[in-house]
Amino acid sequence: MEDNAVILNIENLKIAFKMRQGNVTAVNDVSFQLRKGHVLGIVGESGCGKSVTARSLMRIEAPGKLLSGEINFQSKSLGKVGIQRLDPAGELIRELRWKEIAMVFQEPMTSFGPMHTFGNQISEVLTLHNKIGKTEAIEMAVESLRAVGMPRPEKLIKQYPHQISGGMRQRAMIAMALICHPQVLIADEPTTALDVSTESQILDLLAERQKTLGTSILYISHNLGVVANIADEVMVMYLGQIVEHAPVSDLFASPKHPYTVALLNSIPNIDKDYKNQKLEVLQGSIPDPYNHPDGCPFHPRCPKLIHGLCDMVQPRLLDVSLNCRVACHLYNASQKTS
Amino acid sequence: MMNKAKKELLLEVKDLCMHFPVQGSFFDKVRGVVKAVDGVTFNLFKSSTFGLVGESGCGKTTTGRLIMKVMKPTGGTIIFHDNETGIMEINALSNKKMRPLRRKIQMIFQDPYSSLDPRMTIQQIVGEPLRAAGKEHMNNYKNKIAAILQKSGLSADYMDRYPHAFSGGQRQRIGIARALVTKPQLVVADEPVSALDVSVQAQILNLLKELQETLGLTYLFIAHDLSVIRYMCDTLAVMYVGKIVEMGLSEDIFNNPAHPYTEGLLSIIPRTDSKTKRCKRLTGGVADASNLPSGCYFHPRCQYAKDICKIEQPVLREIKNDHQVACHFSLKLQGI
Repeated sequence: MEDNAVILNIENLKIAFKMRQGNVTAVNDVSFQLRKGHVLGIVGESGCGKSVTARSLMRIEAPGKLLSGEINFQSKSLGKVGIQRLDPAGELIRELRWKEIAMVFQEPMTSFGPMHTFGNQISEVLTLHNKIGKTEAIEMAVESLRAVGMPRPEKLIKQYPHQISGGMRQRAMIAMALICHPQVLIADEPTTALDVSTESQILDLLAERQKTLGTSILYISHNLGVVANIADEVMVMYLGQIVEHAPVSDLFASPKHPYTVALLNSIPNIDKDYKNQKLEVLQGSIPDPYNHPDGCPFHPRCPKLIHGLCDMVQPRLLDVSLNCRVACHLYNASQKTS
Repeated sequence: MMNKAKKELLLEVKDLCMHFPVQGSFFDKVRGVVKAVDGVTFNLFKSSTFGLVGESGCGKTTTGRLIMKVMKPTGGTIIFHDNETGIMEINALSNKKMRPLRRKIQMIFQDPYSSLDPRMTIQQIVGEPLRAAGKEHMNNYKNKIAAILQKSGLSADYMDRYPHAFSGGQRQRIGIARALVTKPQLVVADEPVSALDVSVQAQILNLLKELQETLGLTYLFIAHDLSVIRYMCDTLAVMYVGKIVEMGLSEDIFNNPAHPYTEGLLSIIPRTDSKTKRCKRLTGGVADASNLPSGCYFHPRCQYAKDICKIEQPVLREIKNDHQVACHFSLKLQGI
């Protein structure tokens, strides 16, 4: 496959949760593409739908319900697949899971089964997807653990998850996710539970493996610094929608959407002396999911609110420059008139 | 920022130690000790913020808990300079004698979801420290609660609601109101913002700063996030497996880190401006506290380590005014 080819094409994705208090639309009309060998970062605060979006790509969005939209995946073995049509418990999706789309979960503490050794769990992936025997699978598991910098992988194969530290478990998770050389790796906050020094090692490791294997990564995080380091392009989500999508250098150098600007301003800068200065604060909090605001989802907190427009009409995600998409009337207005 | 001429001592911590015994099984003898906190010495000055920073397992939380007297230290002294009763040695007080002091030293906890009792109303939660402080603090009970809720950015109308009705940021405000209702002199804040979203985190940090200005509070601020520490703290100490490795004014440490560990920590923080990419690496993991390396605990991870580092443990010494470092080569690193 040529470089930069689109591997995943997501269009108008809509996912809702049925709750006692009513339906909550967790992901609303989300469209994006993931290209071969690219790292796409998704950032946003809790409840913005970033995890659900990622989970739906493997069809593990339950108890959420995929209402509409398309997830077109360019599979190596099955050709072009519409993942949205697959049965979440069916044969076809299981063929793709872990072999072509793999995932690194947030909590290294709970994402491994406690009752099986690492050898068992990692080799299971191989024996399920390839016609190989157990001993061969174990050998390959050792190799993949070595590739992620695990000291003494032969010993680790016989160990249980509780016997090693969180950082090591996350390494093992990455080894397991990459063992079948998947085309797409979904990393859902893989370093959030870890110390900064471990985090930096895991980030280097992911970047290194991504380069050597040419894997495309969907990297989800609430930490803007981490995303700035690993991603090629970044999407900012708010209340289930993409509000800004731009190449990493553009997004951090000249953020467009007021929400992105506010997010960047609200993290204390480690290289700055604050003395008596205060942080610029985004007022209010994320709205209650049952009371989705009309118009732009961000308008109740937006410092640049245009009355009569932002609270009435929902802005569309439109191109403002090359590869830059923003959903904000401030930028869309100029586009409509031109 | 505090005026240096008027530095008034509030809390002195001297040689504080907390060694936990390691037991094999129930009937076994003690096999060894884990030195969670080992010879920690620092001073807290009135109306300032002192930060404790380090990776998990470095003893920063244990230090905070010892100051709260949640447990009894195995060594060292904690001296509290009370403006009413004078100088008190907290670690030697009995629980009964400690009781009147408790309202003067309060704590803000990390997790706003598990630190509030779901079966208590906000009024009961925020009022509990007053009830515990004794009858003489119970006059104007409701007004005190309403006032502190307002100062913490919450409406007094919320008093009869339960915690489940509030978001994470609001819950943390309730936790702050609870800590401040007895007008404490010292507040131990243990990772008060690490469970919050970034936009809410900024609100809470600003609130803590405002409250410090208006109420003259002193904070012991414990966090692992260096950028939060830089924003909040006047002075700080960097801890590594139970020991302080560097201590000094915030701007000195962030602009000229003198310990290789501090330098490493600062270099690996992922930054949002693409010009300063993570450069130097901090390799390896935190030393195992039950099986510590010889000499300087940091030497297996240190890129400057020499033979002496493997043999001799460096002591914390002053390299310039108010800047202490525990490293054999700190002066050379700084180019002095």
